[in-house]
Amino acid sequence: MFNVPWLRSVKMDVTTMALSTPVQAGHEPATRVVSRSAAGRPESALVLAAKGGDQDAFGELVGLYAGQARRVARSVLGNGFDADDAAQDAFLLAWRNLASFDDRRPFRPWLMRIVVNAATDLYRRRKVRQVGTLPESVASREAGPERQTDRSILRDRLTTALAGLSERQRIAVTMFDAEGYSHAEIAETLEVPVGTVRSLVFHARRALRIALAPFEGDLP
Amino acid sequence: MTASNDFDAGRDHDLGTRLRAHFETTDDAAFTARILSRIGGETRESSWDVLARWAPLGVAAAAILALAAGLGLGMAWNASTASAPDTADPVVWLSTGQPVTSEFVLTAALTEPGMSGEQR
Repeated sequence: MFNVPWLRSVKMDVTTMALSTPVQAGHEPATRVVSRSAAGRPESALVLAAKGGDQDAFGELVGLYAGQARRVARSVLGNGFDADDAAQDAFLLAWRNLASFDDRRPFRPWLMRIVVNAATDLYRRRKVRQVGTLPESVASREAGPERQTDRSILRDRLTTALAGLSERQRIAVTMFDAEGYSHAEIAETLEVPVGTVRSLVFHARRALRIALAPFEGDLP
Repeated sequence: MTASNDFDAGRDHDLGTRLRAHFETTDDAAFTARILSRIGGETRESSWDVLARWAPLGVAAAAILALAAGLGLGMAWNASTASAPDTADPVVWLSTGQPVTSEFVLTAALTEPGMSGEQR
């Protein structure tokens, strides 16, 4: 149905370089991340083409940001299926509203704002509390810790620690430490001042570091 | 964690790796293909499409407005001409209270049928 040769290779080549872009007053200078799809087309060209209705170009953008969007949605919803639903809704919404996107602005904070809004909206609508409550499988394993591997203990610790964070803290720390977004980009995504983002990341890190301290050096 | 200082502005790569693993996604290609199949089913409207859809309604509204404006202007014109006094008739002229010269009255009287002697 679609001629999308880039789909054969999911591995994306993402290069980052700092470009000065205007950001809201009071915010630190934002860095614009210039990403390239596997086909080698720069993000800006893909955005322009997609704005003109090029579905293949939008497909390359989706391929470029699918992983990030799904992980950020998971940081809000926890549940993988709900997170994927939210991420999918966000991409569809982005496609429909791409004409209104100001291409002088960086694309990925705009996209991530849609993802975050879709995820939080779904969270509110379904009143999902998976993140805030331990799954039954985890709770039952607490009874017999000897059966747990270090990795599963680590995973449970992380789940519990993440559950103790606010929604914004989870998003901020995931975007900053896991996805490599700058404070300014996260501020634009969450529509809060950069100082607030720093605070969110600080508190989230502190909580996560305390929870994961016993596993220092043990990467999953 | 690589950075022990919570205020550190740099990234904590260990924490980032753990978070990425925690929120690990599988089969991004299938996810992408699913989105593309959804997008393929819908056609996105351009601004011209929207304009074209509203054009007939806009033209009809403009025509109605033009008609209403024309009617209004016509009625206003009629009203202004109807209210103007017939200055050729000395009786009407006198009723306006304006000063009348004898030449005007004489001229008006002479133009009255039967006063100029043409009846014979």
